[in-house]
Amino acid sequence: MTPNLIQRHQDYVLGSHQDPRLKSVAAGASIAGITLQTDSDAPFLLRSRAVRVKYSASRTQVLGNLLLRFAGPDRDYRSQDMIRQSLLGPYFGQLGNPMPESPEVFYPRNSPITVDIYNDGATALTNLVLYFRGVKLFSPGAVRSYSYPDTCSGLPFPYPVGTYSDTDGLTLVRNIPVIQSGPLRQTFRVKSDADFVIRGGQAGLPFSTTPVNEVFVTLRDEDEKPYSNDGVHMDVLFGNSGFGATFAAGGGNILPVATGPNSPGLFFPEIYLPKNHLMYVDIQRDDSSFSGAVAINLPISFLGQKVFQK
Amino acid sequence: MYRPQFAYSTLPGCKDEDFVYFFDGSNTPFLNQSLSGLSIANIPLILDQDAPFYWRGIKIDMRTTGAVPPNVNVKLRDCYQNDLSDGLVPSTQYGFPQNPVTFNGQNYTGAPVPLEPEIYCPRGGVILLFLSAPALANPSYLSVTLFGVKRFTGCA
Repeated sequence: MTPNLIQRHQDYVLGSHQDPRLKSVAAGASIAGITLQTDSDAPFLLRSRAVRVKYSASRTQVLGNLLLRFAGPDRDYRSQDMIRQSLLGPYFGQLGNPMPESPEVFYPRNSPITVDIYNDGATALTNLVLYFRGVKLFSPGAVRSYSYPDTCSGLPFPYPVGTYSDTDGLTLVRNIPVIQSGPLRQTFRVKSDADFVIRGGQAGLPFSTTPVNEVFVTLRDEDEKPYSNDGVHMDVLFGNSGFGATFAAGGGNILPVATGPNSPGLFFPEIYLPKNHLMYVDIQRDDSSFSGAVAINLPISFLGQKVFQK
Repeated sequence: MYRPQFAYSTLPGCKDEDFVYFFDGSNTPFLNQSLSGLSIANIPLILDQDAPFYWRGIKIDMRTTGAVPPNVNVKLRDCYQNDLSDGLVPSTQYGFPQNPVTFNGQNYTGAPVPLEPEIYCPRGGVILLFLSAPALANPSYLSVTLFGVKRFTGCA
């Protein structure tokens, strides 16, 4: 498969920041040849995908009219025609459960991911974002890569991200304003008692009475090297079990199931952090178009395992 | 280190039996009250004396009006005083597995949240539950369900 290479989780984001045409895809419009170039630091193995649009005022997404096809590095399309994405996954690969691509697709460094899209619906797709999830392949030593001690024991463990407050007794990402365009950086430090391996995560404010819709997360390692080329929406990267009826289907909206902490957003391979080591979590938000939006305190939990050396 | 969940083997000379512990107001007095606005520490969840318990999954649920996820933050501490999270975490992110699906007026909340790796609990052990809940509109009663196996020895 990838002998002697280090696999590292990677999300490639293809949205309006990468191609302005995705800001609004008009009803009946098709766009061919949308291209995202992979990074120059490592080849990429594509293993799954997700798509999303901006939430509506009622926190729903209408994605049932999105058809697309994508190509490997030689513009070799992976479907005979454009495919309605609702045929591939009920939640469009969101909530930490991306739509699998198997066998994986290999992209050399600096190679294009090419996509054609078509909106056959009656309304525009606003802020369409396509996610390509997989791993980068590095030579040993090119990136930090830790692993388990020879002998160890484990303890399942959720690690919340953010700042602890005695007032509410919680660790939260605090005071995220309605518009946070520059990243609001959270430093996640593993405590000194044990290593921690991150295998998944959960995030969100399902009980909020004010809009918490457009929140994006960029994970970075202790060298600030990112795990994505842009912010990944928190409901794509993580999800939670209190999700509302979000996805338009059959004249109504369906309630996601099997999307909570029993099937969280997974990182593969897992991310191993020795004790006292750091991760950075950069948060961006733009809920300025949603009436009633206010600053929020957001819970984000890494799910994984403490590792005790024996 | 990824591996299939629950692919645990039974030790020679032992017999594993599926076992579920269910704690609510009927057997745990602290849970026999609406949690609205309460913060409670050290709620004992007492295990049986007959066999050690290998704890492999959890489900935290709340009985209230309508099919809603539990709005409560939780922390658990195992029988050896190890915290099982870094402080309180929302039960929608740990313990409550998925959106409730309502069918014929009943809530169905899916498979439990797996605990990986399993947690050993000695016979008669006590797991401690910590919780805090905001002010809630309706009376809300918590239940905690622990899934795993009891391991009996001398059964070969």
